[in-house]
Amino acid sequence: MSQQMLDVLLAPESRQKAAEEQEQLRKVYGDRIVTDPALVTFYWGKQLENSVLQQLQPDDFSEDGQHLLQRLSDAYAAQARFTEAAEFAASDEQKETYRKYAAAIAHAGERQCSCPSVIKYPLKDNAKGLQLESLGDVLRVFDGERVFTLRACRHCGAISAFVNA
Amino acid sequence: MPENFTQLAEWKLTEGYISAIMRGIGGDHMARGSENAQVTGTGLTRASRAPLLVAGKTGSRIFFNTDQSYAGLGTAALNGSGSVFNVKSLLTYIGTGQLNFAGAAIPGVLASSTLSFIKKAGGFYVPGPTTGPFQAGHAQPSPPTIFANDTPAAGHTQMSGAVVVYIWRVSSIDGQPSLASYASNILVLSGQDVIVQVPAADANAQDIWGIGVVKVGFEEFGVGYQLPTSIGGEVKEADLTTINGITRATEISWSNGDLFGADLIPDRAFPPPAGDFAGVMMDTVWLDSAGIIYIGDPGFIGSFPPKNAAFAPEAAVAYLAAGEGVTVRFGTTRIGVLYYVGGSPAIEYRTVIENQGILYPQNAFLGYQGRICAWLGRPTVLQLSGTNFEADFGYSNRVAEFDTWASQQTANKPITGFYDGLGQYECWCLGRQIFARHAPTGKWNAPENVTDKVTGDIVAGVPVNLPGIGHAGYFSCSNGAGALTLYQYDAGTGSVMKIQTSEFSRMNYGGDVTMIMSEGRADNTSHPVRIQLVSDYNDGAPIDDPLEGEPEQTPTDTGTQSFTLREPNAIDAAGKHAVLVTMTSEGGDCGINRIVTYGSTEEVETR
Repeated sequence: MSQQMLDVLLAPESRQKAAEEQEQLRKVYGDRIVTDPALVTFYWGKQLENSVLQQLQPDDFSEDGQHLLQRLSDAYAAQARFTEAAEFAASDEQKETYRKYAAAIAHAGERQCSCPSVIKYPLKDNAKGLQLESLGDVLRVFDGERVFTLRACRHCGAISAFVNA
Repeated sequence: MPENFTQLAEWKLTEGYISAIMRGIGGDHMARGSENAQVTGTGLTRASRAPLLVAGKTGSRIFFNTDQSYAGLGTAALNGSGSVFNVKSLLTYIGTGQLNFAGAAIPGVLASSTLSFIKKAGGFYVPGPTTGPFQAGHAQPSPPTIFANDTPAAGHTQMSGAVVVYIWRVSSIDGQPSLASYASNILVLSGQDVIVQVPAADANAQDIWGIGVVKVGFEEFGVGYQLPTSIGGEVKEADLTTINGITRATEISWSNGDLFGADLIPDRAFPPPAGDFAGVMMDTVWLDSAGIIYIGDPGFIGSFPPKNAAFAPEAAVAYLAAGEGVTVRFGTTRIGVLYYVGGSPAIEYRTVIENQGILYPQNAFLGYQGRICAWLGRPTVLQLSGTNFEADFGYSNRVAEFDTWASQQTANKPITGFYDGLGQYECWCLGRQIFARHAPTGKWNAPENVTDKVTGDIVAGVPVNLPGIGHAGYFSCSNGAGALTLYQYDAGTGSVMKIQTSEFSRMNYGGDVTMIMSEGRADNTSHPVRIQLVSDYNDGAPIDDPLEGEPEQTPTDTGTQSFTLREPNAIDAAGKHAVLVTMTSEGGDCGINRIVTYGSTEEVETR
């Protein structure tokens, strides 16, 4: 039965019918699709948070419990809730990184260092060297209201956040 | 022997149960009033064996066949919805309700709108840090920090020029990568190689980092290529080390020639959105989110590029995997099909039946030889008519009782279908009643009343492979509280079978029924065989078995036999009568083969 069905469905006229239906439906529902990775990650993080909170038991200090807290940290980070992500992060380095991200978002739009806006790299085969904007993209995140681009200074490593239009 | 003594009627009961038929036109079927009698492959009717309690197992509110067994969602208190399936040897699920496998709850694992999975360890699905449950997909990581290394280790290449590095998360459990990070800081190398420092791994089963690079000299404006694994393109989290005082580091080097033919860094590994249903077809996972069907990238469980979405005109109620490459999607007013086409997106959707649908996921199931059975106001089977899909309503037109079912079903008492491969029955249940259709012959069993055999209403069913035996029909019952009880269909210790024949009707003829001969099979010598006569449609007051209470009423042997002759001497019954046989079985072969009535006939004068 399934082979017969497949044969019918794969026939050119059937696929044409399917394509026409999809074209119609895309017009109606197409704008419901989230295509921005920052938004996709945000919603994924929200699901992860719900899923972890469902499993988390109070005062669970077992290996399972610690693992769930790490996952909760991942979930908050995916939602740009870096202060909470830092609280549950497993390592000090990760806590520090999330705190930097949180501080940057708290001062979104402000560069967090006073380094030059351009950085030059000497190149052997080019006397002018390589000249780039000193801020490089690190992450794009969505906090439920705004999309931020986190950018790192190529001079000093400071993280700044800028709201996307 | 009275004058005009003759054979009046003979029934062999070869046509199964028929209630949607005019009375008085005869027929070799079981009529209304029959109960707990089954059609069998031998052509004989048999008493239902009744449900068998599957001890030590718990039921579910919806079932799925997966991983050579069965899984389910939901408890007595909380309904289940969604999907459970196996992909890459992982039990994968989405929806609502407690996750159960092989009749046991997986402790603490509840389905949600998150596509999740749990890994089998030692033959069992047990939650834990290395087994999950984990969520399909990964978040994009922050970029790495890279450092020039003046003293490349043995086997590494000295590089000169500007470079950047990308990283992405990978889980060895499902092989799933994340989207690649943004580019690292830029290094301009001069006879050096690269130390890559990566951020913390996620706790979502990530245990590997993928590494991507540009051609030397192309820095962040170059194309990102996956560094071949043979030269350090994948590093296990456990293998990260401290190099030159740089923690969580690995050393890499490459030449532009190494990147010839290399894949691009992952840019399609969008994690799955929230969904209601999901499944796998061939190598491709799909996920349905209120009618938007995200088609995954082939080979991956958590890569859902948004551009791969297909659309259905309404939210789904249930999905049925109908075989390789075909999955049927049921909505409330439309039935569609997901089918595998290969390439990317590898799956397409098409609506195939309009203005028909189901209300509850239990309303549809795979029946005999994998055909699709669905309650569309009454039981139907979906079929192809040329190149069109249609529901065959003739499938159930012998059973009038279905006319009253639709208004009775609720989410907690759904019309539930399942297939029992042992008897080849397609079973349709409402509450504590089961109508089963013997699929090879298309004949219906008499309704099975399991009220005194089960703990509550039937809420879900599934065929379960019993090694060496076959696929038995299992179903769960709920009384709204406590555990869901699981039963095997037609495997119990017997039932009280009633077979009422069709009416023998000669209309304008009278006469007496003087003799009833019957042949059948008994599986015990404990219970009497009651043979009563229903005269003139008077179902409420059958004429007593003349042997009632007599020892001759009870068989003295088991097996096929002629039951003791009855001589009812029912005056004026010959013109219009049926026979009602009641037998109590003990789970063996018990049934009626043939019934014959004899008597006198007299023409009734009419004006």
